[in-house]
Amino acid sequence: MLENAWLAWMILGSPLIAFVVVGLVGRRLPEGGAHVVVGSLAASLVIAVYFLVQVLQQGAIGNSTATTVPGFTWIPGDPATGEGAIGMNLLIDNLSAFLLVLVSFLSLLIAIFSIGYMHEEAGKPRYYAEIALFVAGMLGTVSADNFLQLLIFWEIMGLCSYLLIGFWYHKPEAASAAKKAFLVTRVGDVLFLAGILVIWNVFHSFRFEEIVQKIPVLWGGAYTPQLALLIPLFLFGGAVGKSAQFPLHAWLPDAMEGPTTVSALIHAATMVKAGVYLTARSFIFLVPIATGGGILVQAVPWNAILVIAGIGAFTAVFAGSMALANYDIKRVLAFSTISQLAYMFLGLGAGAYLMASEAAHGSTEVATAGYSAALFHLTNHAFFKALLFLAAGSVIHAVHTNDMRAMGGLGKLMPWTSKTMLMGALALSGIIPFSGFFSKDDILAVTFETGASNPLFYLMWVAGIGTAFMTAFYTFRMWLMTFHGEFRGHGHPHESPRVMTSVLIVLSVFTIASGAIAFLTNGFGNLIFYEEPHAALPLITPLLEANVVELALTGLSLALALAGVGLAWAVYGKRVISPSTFTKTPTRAFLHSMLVNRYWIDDWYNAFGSRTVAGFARAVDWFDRNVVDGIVNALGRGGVVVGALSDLFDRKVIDGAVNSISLETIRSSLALRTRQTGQVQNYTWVIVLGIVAILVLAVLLGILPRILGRP
Amino acid sequence: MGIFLSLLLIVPLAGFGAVLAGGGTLKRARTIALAFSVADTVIATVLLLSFLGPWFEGLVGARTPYATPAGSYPLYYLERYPWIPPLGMNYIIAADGLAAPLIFLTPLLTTLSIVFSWNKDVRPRQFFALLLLMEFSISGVFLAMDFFLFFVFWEIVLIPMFFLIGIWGGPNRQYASIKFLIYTHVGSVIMLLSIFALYWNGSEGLNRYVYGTTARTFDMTVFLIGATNGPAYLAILPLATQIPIFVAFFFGFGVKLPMVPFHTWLPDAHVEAPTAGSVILAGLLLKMGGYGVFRIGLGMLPAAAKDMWWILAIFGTVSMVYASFVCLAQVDLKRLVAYSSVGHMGFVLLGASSLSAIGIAGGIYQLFTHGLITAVLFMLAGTIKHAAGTRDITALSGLGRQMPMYSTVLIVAFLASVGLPGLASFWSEFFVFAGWFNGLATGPWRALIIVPLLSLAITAAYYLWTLQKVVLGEPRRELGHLHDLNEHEQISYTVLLGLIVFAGLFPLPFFGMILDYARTLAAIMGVP
Amino acid sequence: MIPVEYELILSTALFCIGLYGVMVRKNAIIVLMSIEILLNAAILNFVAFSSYAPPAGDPAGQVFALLAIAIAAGEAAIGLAIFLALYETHGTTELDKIRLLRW
Repeated sequence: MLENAWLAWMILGSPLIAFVVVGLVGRRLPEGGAHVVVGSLAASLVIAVYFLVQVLQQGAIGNSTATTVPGFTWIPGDPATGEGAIGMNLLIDNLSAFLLVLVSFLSLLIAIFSIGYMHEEAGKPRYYAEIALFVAGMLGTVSADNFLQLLIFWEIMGLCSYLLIGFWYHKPEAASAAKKAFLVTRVGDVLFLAGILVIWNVFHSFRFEEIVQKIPVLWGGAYTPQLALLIPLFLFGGAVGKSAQFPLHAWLPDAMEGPTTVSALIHAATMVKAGVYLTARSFIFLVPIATGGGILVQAVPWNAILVIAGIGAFTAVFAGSMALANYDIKRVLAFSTISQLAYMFLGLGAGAYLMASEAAHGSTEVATAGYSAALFHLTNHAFFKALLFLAAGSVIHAVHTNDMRAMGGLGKLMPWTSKTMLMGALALSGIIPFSGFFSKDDILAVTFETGASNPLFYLMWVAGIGTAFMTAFYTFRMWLMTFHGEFRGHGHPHESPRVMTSVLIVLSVFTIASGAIAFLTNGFGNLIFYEEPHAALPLITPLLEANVVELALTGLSLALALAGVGLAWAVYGKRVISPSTFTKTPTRAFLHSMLVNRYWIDDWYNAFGSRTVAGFARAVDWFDRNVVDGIVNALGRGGVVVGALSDLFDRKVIDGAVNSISLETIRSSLALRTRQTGQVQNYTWVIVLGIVAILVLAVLLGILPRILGRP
Repeated sequence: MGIFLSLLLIVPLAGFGAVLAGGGTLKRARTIALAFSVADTVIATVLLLSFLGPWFEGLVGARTPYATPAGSYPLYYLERYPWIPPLGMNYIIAADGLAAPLIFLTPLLTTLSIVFSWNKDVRPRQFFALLLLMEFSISGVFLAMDFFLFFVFWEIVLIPMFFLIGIWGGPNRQYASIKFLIYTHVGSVIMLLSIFALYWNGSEGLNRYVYGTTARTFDMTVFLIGATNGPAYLAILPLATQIPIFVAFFFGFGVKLPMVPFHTWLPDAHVEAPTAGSVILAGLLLKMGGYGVFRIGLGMLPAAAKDMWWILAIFGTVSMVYASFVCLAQVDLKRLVAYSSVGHMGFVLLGASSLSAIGIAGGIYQLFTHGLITAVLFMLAGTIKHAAGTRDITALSGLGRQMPMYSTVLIVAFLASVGLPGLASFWSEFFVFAGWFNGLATGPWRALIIVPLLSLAITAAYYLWTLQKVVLGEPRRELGHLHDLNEHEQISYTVLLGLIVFAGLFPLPFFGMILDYARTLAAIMGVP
Repeated sequence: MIPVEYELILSTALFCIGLYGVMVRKNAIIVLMSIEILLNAAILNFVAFSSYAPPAGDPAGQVFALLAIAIAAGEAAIGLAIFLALYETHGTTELDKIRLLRW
């Protein structure tokens, strides 16, 4: 049990309050309310650290602790059983406590950086309000205790991402990129929602803890093998959208139209990691826990795990290759982010497979190395990618362009930026002893180890080390093109203000040091783990004690990374090899243009969207106007025709009869009116003659006595 | 037997008379109309609060389910006065979890329409009087518990709407208003047939069963309470009788709802109608169809509903997918919103087709939330037509700079319509899906849920496309200088957006009463 | 005593004279006078039958006669007043010039 558990709500609450304050009165605050947001994030960070310390103390290192902080009930459950209640609670366990600290720390740094970076922008209150809301969403996502709540915060993040990508909304590219980001992730969200519906249907609950307990109970009953396969795949669909994995990767490079701080925070350090987080949470389906502990091997969806790992391995190579030929400094980083996220999925997939197959072989120990390796990489990547993006932002701030062809030689002009960015580049390339090395090597080692259970993982491992080579190459290509050689742009770039460089320095310290977390905790697997701690790699001691194969693997990946750095140096540093070598022959030129055009996938998507879908929509619209409405109108016209016919009948036949009668009446009366002279004496004549005629008739008929009556 | 519910009818009717009598000028007409409508809103709010929990019950009186010899039914505050007793026609009104949110919505939207049309200087007396007449008749539809009364109100509704479109409408108003009148009238005539079928076939036996009176009756409670006892009900109204009656009712309600393919009166009516007319048409008139599906289709003909739920599901799904594709091709903002209404009403049918408590509750909640959201959307279409002179999406651009308040409202309303969490319609859509998934579909058929789910993505697509064109980008010079929202528009939008956010963050107040009612229905159906 | 037949013949003669005047003469005054003659013919009949009624006559006939005379006076006054008005409006009392009843 945590002390002062209610304070956990303030982790989310404080940026939310900042959102409201800045949203309402930000215009009147200095710097558009930046200080309010920074303060609120600092408060979040303090509280999050407070809880992380508690979690670590209570569980010691290597023990798990989970506390649910109660919130409020949205929908009460069934009145009889209480089942099916939907509430909003926070789950503080090792994973969420750690991520809360990570997210609030990075958000704080980036918010501070923004003070300098966004100084000259109009619309700062909007920016800071949305940043605050975003951070609240991200913190809510990682601390949600059920899938529905997770989805809700997930969508809030998506909304903020949409708004922030479109921050310069008057730019058509930004508007279009924002739309694209929302729509593509929306496809993933729909799958996520479908997964949640299936979960609700099977378990009548969204809460992680209840689901864990119910899986072994319902297995074989409501929880069938098909559903066991379907649920994690649906959830992974959401992760693919959010984390920009193939085939829903197209939005992330375009999302670079937003401010660089947004790219750093949302599209590198935090939001895109939510997919990884979700997949980590869906381990309860991937490697379900049996009632008495241990793993319920029958319920493991092997194919779903293979899909996750496979998508990860493929996307790693795929996105990494697209970064090779790009000239936009932010897009290189964006492709790199996709590629690194794919590493994490590979690690999660391989880890789950390893865990399950070891359990299937009768091992009692839960092998959580892949799980913790992926989350370790998540941590490290958050630091070094934020650093790289912010450094890139510092460069862009100075030269006012994203195009690396208009940079060069900035190393002398911007010493702090260049040096800190070099730290990030080394970490990203996976050079020992920078943080990226440890976690990436972990993932590759786990993948290789899983290969023993399923040879497909050897293939994925090859993809992984291939990516390591490409990563090193494009990272240093980027760094060298930016900072090395002569300045190729215009104007006089100068170093960014202290508020920005100091953040870069802090981040570069963490970039170097975050790999050391594993040493502090005797293996990252003792800090964050699934079900059982596992003093996993990387530790120098077990590494050296490990068998020759693992050492050789580490050496190989390191050598490939160094080779990548060397190649980049040869091409862009020393200029021993001319860049035009890559486009010399037609085949190479074709490959180059393929990479530049991102395998034409964006073009296909655009064509699909603007031609197929829009065309279909227009066809349906035509159908609606002409066919459906046409039938209605035809029915209406038919009614009018029937009406006209009956009108004809009415006029000619029915009304004709009536009219002819009245016509005859008029005609005869016209004839008769001449008899009406108006002369009283004429009438008198008629009366007298009439009486006479009556009398005559009466006499003639002999009825006169009857008329006169008898006396 | 109080007269509290009757106040909901008396006040707007009195307002109608008062505006006709004293509304000689625009100022007087709108003031009188607003006064009566606000009074009605207050009464409806009190009614709604009384459903929320024990704290507010004292406002109206003890809330006890309506009890009869054959059992009780969750109808509250029932009022019964004889009207034409020999024919079995009575004045019966009552409220429950299904009707209360809609009854609340009716005066609310009317009031906001009056505020929104504050400067309507074309025949103001008639305009505001008709709005109040509309309020009266729609409240009557939701309150009536007697078929004859129900039908009378149902028909009265058409008259003010016909005139609102026909007099204050756009250039093609003649066509639209006549189409609206004839189309919906055909629907109600067919509905009338099935009312008579129930009157002649079942009412006598059920009246004897429920009240011990042997006489034909139009009393709806007879059918509602009779239906709670399945076997007895089936003995009097066998399935073979229920099905044709159900189909006829469903057609009548389907036209009103509207569902594809009986929807084409809607876009025309909306495009031509004045803003207040559109708000009421989409916010309230369509809800009558949904209300009927739940009250009569599910509540009185449960066996037929259970037999034919898949037809509802198909119509609902087709409406959702079809309408969202049509939306994608629209360039008129109002037409887009109109078609999106068709799609959102598909959720209602889908929720009803689940026959499960959660699904039914989601469908009813969708009626409520869509009423709020679509009102905002139609007001937005009206505002931009007034400000920029056009509703053409391709002609508008960069409103984010020129009309920041308008753009904010537009974004929030669109996102609410997309179903973003934290805004009202998320819950209704979510529960529709969850309930459907929990409903009668079995095995692989469940996988078909992905079809309506994908329409969510398309819904997002057309709204975002519109946002990109309208709000984002550079302002167009030829539109000139555009004025942002005036105070009356601000009031309307603030109230509605506030409710949308409230109903999204705290759905329980509304959802709880709906769920109580839905559980009754689901229990009759025998679906969890 | 004069036999009743004589009186009836006189009455009939008067009636015929009056009828002739009404039907043929154009001057309204003369038509009015002719109507008076018609009335007197009827009054004569009343009086004649009154004295011959068995056993000793019936006074009712004489009462009727007196009543009829009184009313005839009134009628003549009204008739003359109408003719006066007619003369004022139409400038004539010739009956065939006055066509008010003709539509």
